[in-house]
Parts: sequence; C-alpha cells; structure tokens
Amino acid sequence: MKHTLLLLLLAGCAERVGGTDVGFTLEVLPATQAVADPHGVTRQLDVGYLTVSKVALVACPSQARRLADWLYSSAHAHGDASPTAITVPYVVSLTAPSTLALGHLSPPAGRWCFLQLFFEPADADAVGAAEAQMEGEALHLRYADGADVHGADALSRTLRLDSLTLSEATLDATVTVKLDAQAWLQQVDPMAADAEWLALESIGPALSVDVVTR
Amino acid sequence: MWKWAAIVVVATAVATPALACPTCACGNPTITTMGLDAPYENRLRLGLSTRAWETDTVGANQQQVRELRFDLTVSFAPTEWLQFFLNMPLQMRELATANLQRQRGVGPGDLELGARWVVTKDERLTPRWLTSLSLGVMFPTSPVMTDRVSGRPLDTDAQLSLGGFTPTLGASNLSLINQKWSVLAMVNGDLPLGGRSRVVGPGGVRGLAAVQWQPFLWLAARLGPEVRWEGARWIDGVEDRAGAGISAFAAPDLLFMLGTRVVIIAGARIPIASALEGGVRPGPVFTAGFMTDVL
Repeated sequence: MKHTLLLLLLAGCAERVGGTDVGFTLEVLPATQAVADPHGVTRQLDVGYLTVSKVALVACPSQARRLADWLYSSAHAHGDASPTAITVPYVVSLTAPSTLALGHLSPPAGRWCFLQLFFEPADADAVGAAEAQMEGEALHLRYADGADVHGADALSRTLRLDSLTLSEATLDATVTVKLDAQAWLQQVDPMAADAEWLALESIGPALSVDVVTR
Repeated sequence: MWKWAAIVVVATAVATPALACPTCACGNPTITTMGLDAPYENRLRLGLSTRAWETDTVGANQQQVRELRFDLTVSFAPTEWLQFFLNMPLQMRELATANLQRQRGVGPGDLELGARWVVTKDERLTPRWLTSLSLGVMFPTSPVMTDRVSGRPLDTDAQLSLGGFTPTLGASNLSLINQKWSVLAMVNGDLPLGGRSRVVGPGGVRGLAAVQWQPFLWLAARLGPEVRWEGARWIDGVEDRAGAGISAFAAPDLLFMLGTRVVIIAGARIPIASALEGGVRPGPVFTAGFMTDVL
C-alpha cells in the first residue's frame, strides 16, 4: 500500500471531473410532397440542400445589460467563440428524413436564452458538401418544373430557448433543432428575384427547438 | 586533576550548543531563511515548506487555479563562500473552469539544482552584511498530468509544470542594522528554454525587499513589498499574454527559532495591486515551513 502511494506520487495522478455537456441534434422533416408556394403554384422539390455553418449558444442578458441596452440602444452581443459555438459546417438534405448529430459543447454554467443558427456557403471541408456538390453554396433548391434556387448568401436565425439552465445539479442537456422543410417551402417563391436570400429569410417559422436537461 | 577535568566538562557542555548554533557559528544572530543564510563550512541544512496560492481569471475565460505545494530543500555548504542546494516540490493543483469542470493533478514538480556564492561578506566577527548570487537549473521532472479515465492530458493551466529546462538566477543581500533590525532584499528570475506540448512557459522575475525586526533571539517579524513580473507564454510559437504583467504583494512573515537548530516560518503574500493581462487576478499566497541544521 505504501509503495503504491509512493508510486502514485512519483508518477503523478490526475483526473477531470464534472463539466457541462450540451449535445446538439438537427432533425429534418423532409419536403417529400408537392407544396404550394406563396402564389399558389404547386411544385415538387427534387433536390434540396441547406448548409448549417455554425450553431451558437447565447447567454441571457442580465438585468444590468437590459437596462444598458434600453438606455444606450447598444447592439445585441453575439456569443463568444469556442466554448459556446460549434463551427463545423454541415450540409443537410431537405428531401430525406435525417437526424444529424452536430456535436457537443461544454459552455459555462448559467442561463442560456438563445440559440443562433448560421446558414453560410459551405467550404470544401463541410460535412456532406462534396456529395451534395454544395461547395460555395448555402442553399440549393431544384424543383421538378425546372425552378432552381441556389447561391452564396449568408444569414443567421436566433431561436429562443425556454429552459436551458446549467448548474451543478444540471450539467447535461440535449438541444434538438427541428426543421420542417415542407412548411418552409410553402413560404419560398423560387421565381422571385433574390430568391435564395428570401428563402433563407423565411426559414424562421419552420424551425423549432426542444431542450431536455438531465 | 579533578579541577582540570571539571573545567573540561563544563567547557564542553557550554561549547557544544554554541558550536551547534547556526546563527552563532556564522557570528550573526539574525534568524534567516534559506537563500539568505550565511554558509559556513560543512553546513547541511534541510527545509520543508508549503505554499498555497490561487489565481482567478474573470471575463470570457473565467477560471480559477489553486495549488498547494510542498518543497523539500537540502543545502550543503562545503565552504563559507559556496553553498549547493536541491529543491524537490510535490504539487497538488486544481483548475476549475466556468463550465463547472474540475481538473486535478497531484505529482512531483520540477527538481531544481543550484549553487549560491557569497560574493561579498563583512569579515568582522559579527558580519553586518552579506551579498550572494545563485544560479540553478530546474529540470522537467514533473510528468504530464493525464486524466486517468480518458488518458487525455489536462489543460495547460492544470499541468504542474510546462516542462523544459529552466535556468534560474538570483541575488540577495542581508544587512544587519543592529541586534534587532535588519534589511533584506532578494531578486530571483527564471527563463524556460523550452516546454512540452508545444507550450513554452513564461519567464518571470520576483523581487522582495523587507525589514526584519527581531525583538528576541527566538522571534522575528518581517514585512515588505514583493513584486512579481511574468512574461508571456508561447503556444505553437504564438504569444499568449494571459497572465503576463506585474503584480505587487504585501509580504508579512513571522520567524521562530526553536532551540538552536530549527527555524519555523509562516507568512502570507497579500495582493495589493496587479496589472496582469487577460483578466487574471492573483489571490493571496500563504506559506509555512521549517528548516533545520543537520550539520
């Protein structure tokens, strides 16, 4: 026993315990049926891909911050980089059901009120970009009638998180983002000028988020 | 005959503690700690000290580093002008981050070997001042702290040492004003020449100037400012200035002499001002230790 203790002291002994863990998942409810666009024209989506370039947690503003924002009308600060954001870009299909594990974060304890999703052009390293031929593009929609929407616009959407409070008692959580592609495409006019930008801008109502804490 | 024998016995009895008394042997009654003591031929000194410290980082990279370390020090002086020393630490460190994770490591620190030269010394029977220089090297004897479950190394700030050979250089001066008052000054610096895991630790300089009041032979109190400067560390060749800067502490110490061979010291370093980059704030440092003359 004494020798074991001595060896441990000489060799060193270390451990890593605790720590928050938030897993992020993206579920896509695909657009498998023909949908009517805002002008009532019914179209069937043949090919659909979307690039999710970044997922970031944003802390709840404190009372002091809210007061300062009200007094000085300052801009809303974005979350910090590494411990609160997943920056690995993914290309997701809008025509096949999929559940994509985006990754895990270990953010500081506290209340997190918002989740930001960034849609930006995929680079060569984006997961799934090569198969979908999405390099340099944020969105690609190709309909059966030949309408084609694609481009390199970039946009982010902020979703409210109802109850993500991390503490010693609640270290783990799972955040599931759901994208209802069928509902989204009802808001997309593929024949509009600047159709890609307008399509990305209309994605908000089709997104929802569930939080499960443990 | 019996009279002479009695004189020899009495003389021996009186002389023995006097020769064994370190302060008496060097002719100066000031209670000193290692690095400030006056070497004398064949003096072998053993010391054990403990130090507890913490630093907090506020802001985006909020974290707290705490450490409790024990230093075993042995010094030997072959002459009254030269002293060799060895220091071996045992460290316990904890890094607590804002994500409620704790990383803990226990193990040996970096072994330091060095020598100290007495550059100048007052040659009177009771020397009133003593100036010395020291030169040493810290060897990377501390192992990489790895999580025993995952096998992954702990974060840089949780490592007991960043590895790499580190030369150290120091200078000290002790001046005795009278039997009760003395002034001491110390400067120590180190500069890591390398490091493991692509991280090269920061170089640093620490200076202490203090006044010591010794109302009794067995008790002394000293107080003075201690100033530390720490440089940037390098990660993959990129400068990381978090924690770099200057900080000042109030440095009170109490020293007790037990008998003629043992000195006990207890003290603190209370931060009074700091200008460290990256939101790093030094916390108080508490020290305690004892040293004894084996020879």
